[in-house]
Amino acid sequence: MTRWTGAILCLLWLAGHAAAADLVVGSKKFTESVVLGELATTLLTASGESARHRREIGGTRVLFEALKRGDIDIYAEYSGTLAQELLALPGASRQALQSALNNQGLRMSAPLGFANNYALAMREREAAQRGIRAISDLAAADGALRYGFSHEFLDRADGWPGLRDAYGLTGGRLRGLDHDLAYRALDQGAVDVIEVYTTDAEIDYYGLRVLEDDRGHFSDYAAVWLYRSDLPAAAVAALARLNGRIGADAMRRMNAAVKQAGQSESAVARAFLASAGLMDRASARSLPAGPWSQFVQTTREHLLLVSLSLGAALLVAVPLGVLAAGVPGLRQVVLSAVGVLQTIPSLALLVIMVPLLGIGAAPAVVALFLYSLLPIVRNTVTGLTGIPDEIRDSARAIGLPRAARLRHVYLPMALPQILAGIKIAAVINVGTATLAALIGAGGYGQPILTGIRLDDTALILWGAVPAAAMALAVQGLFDLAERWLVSPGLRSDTRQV
Amino acid sequence: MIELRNVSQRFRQHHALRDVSLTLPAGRTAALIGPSGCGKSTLLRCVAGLMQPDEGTVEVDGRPLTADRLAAHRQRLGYVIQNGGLFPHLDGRGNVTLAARHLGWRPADIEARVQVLAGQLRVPARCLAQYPATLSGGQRQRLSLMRALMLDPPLLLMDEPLAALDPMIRAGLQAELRTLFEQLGKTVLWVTHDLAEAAWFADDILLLNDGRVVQQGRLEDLRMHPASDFVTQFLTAQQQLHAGLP
Repeated sequence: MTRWTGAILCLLWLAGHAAAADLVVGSKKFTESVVLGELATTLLTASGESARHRREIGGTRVLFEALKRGDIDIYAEYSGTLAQELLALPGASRQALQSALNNQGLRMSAPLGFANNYALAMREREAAQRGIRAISDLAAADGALRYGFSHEFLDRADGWPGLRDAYGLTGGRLRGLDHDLAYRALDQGAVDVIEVYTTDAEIDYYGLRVLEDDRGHFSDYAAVWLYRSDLPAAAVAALARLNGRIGADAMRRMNAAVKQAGQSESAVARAFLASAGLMDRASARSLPAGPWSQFVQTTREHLLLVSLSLGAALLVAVPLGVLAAGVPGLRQVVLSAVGVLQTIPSLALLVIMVPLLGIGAAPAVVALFLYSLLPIVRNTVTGLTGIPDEIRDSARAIGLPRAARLRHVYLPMALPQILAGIKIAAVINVGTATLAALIGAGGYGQPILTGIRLDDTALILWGAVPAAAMALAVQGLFDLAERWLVSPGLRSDTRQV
Repeated sequence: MIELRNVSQRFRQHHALRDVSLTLPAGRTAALIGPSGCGKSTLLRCVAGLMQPDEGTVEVDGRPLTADRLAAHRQRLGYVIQNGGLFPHLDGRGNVTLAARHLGWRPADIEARVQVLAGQLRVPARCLAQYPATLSGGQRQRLSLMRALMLDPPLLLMDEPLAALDPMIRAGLQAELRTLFEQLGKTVLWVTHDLAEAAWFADDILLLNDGRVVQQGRLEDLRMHPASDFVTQFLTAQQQLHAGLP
């Protein structure tokens, strides 16, 4: 038992610290952030550093925590977000921000050149009809308008709460939307006003009217690198070569190349670096791994998440179930405890793990492990407590001691129930593991996330279909195990008389 | 020899056994009889060590049955219940040999013992390879008896072992078992609610009512010298039951 526990801890450690020597670039789950992440990774690699990109990690907070913990070393952030949201120093000067970051072991680069400000946008025709040109014009039509804002915008001090107060808006009919879906919702007329980032490629693509911030609510969101103060000087110097080099038009073009022209972020980043003279054109053309090797990679990541969490759950949940079944006083406590874990929404459980364990596979495995406990513990208890008294009496009367009764009689009899519990846990686990991509654990959730971001159904299916297939395969595997392990005397198909 | 001294057992408000004292001499068969709920099965479970009485002691061969002696005690008794209590996940052979395998008997010894018992209880080889769910009631009871006799225990405790069987099979097994018990010289405590079965098997009849032993003796003693009105009533009721047949 201890050997197994040791092996699992080792694997967890490996999963969490794979290739710890690399510099790790992080990115948020929207296209511009991913492109900037690719730019940094490519530039660092071209400068002889060993760097990799952990793309599309949950929200701003998750990424900032990951940077502080050292799970990542660099990511692109916006000065406004830094001041308002992360450091809670609205209106602070660059020096003030810099020294607040220093206290946390972090640094901020000079501006990259463009600002990606928040703004509100409407369909051009509707804005013209209603005569809305600036945000203050919204107040008149406020009650009739449907607002669709991202959850982060709804929540941030510099987002909707501040905007509402600054312009005296009531919000009309307000609803939370994923930012990548908001443009389509606006285009299809499901909402009338959305928040945009000023470098979003969709603004031109959909022909939207960006409303003027006539009371100057939104602060400046100049793009900068945030990095750890222990980043090697050579890496800092390499990154500094991009300072002031990315203009707003260049950024918007790169976003459009990914979102509208369907190029990979990596190719777009290489092309930009080559055209800016930061990288020679020959090496810019060497392309990263193709879809097939990426599929193999995500499959491996997904399998690792599922097998580690399920294996650990097995080692803990079955003994816990045996204990709970044997000690009635403990039963309710154990079942309530694992039951409460199950009631935490899976997304929340994943994010709760980030401050404790950082980002990547380790927190995901722990969350999935906690999630797998209930079905196994509950079924083990049900299976064991359901054994008839006459069987218990017989087992005791033939002189078997407690451990032998459990091993030779009770567990084999409860096995169909226990296996059913494991099967449920495994199938749920395969599905829930797709959410783990949000905290940087990879797996089939990665193509799904990217697919949602790029509005690419095929890419979503690259994640969703294998995940469903894996769930079915796991189910089939346990059906097979059942045939193997469960005594024919307990299977209904062999009963007769 | 089994001796109970002042044994009492309560389940909440219900007195299952009230101050029971009795002696079972070695090598003899005693029948525990009485109406439903009189405490027969509880008494048997106390003797089997499946239950510690609230008050009083159970003595085996002159020594009180304490927690540390339970394991040894159980290896020296066989226990058979109404529906056999066979383990559904093990085939016939698995059920019969589980205790011996646990004790580390050599496979050859186990097989030899199985052959002897299968002969004595007339269990065909194919039943040993079948799972309990596919066996008839009579076959299940024969396997359960084989399991009880596997370690050759001196004491056999039977809780209405034939009650669930149909009358033909029951009569056949009754005859077989009496002969077998006489041959083997076991101490047998046999719970039944059927006076005819008790009289057929037992040297001694123990009549229980409401948690107490009302009378102990042979059937003639109960008939000729009933200890109370209840004894007479019980015997009359049983007689009417059998006389009522066409």
